[in-house]
Amino acid sequence: MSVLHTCAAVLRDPKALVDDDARRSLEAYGPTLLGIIVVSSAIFGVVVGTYRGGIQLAFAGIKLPLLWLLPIVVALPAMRALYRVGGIAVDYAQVGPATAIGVARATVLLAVASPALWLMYSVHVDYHLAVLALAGSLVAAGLLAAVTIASVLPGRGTGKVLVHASAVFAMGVVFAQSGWVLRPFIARPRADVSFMRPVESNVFDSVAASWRSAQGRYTGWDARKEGLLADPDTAERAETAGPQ
Amino acid sequence: MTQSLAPVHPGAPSPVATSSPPRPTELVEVPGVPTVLLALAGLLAFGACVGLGTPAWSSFTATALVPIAGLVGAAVLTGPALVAGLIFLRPDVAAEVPVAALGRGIAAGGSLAAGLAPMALFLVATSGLWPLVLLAGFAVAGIGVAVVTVRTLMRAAGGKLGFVAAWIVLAVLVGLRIAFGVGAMAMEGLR
Repeated sequence: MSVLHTCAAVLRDPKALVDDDARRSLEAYGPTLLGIIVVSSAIFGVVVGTYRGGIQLAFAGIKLPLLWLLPIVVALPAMRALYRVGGIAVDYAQVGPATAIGVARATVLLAVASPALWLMYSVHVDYHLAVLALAGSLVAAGLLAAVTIASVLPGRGTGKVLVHASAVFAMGVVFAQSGWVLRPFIARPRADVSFMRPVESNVFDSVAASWRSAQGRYTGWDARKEGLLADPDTAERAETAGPQ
Repeated sequence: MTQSLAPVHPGAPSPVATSSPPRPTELVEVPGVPTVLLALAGLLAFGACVGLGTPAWSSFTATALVPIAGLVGAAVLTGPALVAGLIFLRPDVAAEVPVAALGRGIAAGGSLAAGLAPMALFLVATSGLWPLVLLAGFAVAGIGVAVVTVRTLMRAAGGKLGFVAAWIVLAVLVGLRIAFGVGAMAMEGLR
């Protein structure tokens, strides 16, 4: 099946791709789906990089595919375990293709919608508006991927909705934190361009701080360096200073 | 004479009523040792992944032991109550059923914890959220144990298991008490 036909199947009837035999579909469509995800999200990343231009085009083009692929790798075992405990007997040969199909569908739609984002960025909109537009696009695409994954996998009925929601929530948490770790996608106009920022704080603290700022409470935010991958000097200081 | 053999407990069915259709055999099969060991390894793996995120190595061991101590401790301490309670209240239910249900629950909790381990490692590597990850993972694994245990009991023994609800409450409280006890040791290591 050609790339175009696989794209058409992903958009029109994703369930048909896994209906016959999940293991066979993984072998048949796996590489093509992976290619679709990488190329589509790279196109979207390059468009996001146009806000700053220059080397950020390449940086964002490389990081956007990682943003979509990292949650698949990290959250897949949790999703499979949640489905199995929830009474939906699926294995990796079913969850893997279903997740790849959902993500491929989302990234293809992001790629085809990217000219609209480029148009917006080309008129030099405010930095915060640019970030909001990117976040909104990613959240919408993520929800579409979640709905597609749930529709492709077996399990219907009210009891199963909770299982689907739990599995998708697990992937959503990893997706959100991946976005935080891989930032910046949109570099500030006058800031130095870097491939990645130091590991510090987390996406949830960041959202809470943004929420406070949106409500007019500018209390400032001290993004502390935390986590195994944080700066070793900071970790050493934390060790001697006691609990964080 | 038949009346003298009637069960003492008014809610329990009489021996005559035990001629109900046999339950599926696999529902009373107690999980094997490898399955249980895998489950314990999963719980330990999840705890170790979270423990790597603690700011001080002195708290690693205690943090790593929170999930396994909480879930297995609760199962060991409250499991006999479940078995004895069902034997007493439901004479029609085979004695292996609650043991098998609890074993399946532990196996499910272990597989959940093992599945969550890569996520936990990612989150503690990129953030300082290890306490939240520990709590969330412990809660998810605990819910998994409870859901699978109750589901297996319901399938094997049928409905009307009000006693099981009371047992779940007891097991949750005991599990939380053990987990917080071990968690306090982890916090002590940070001081």
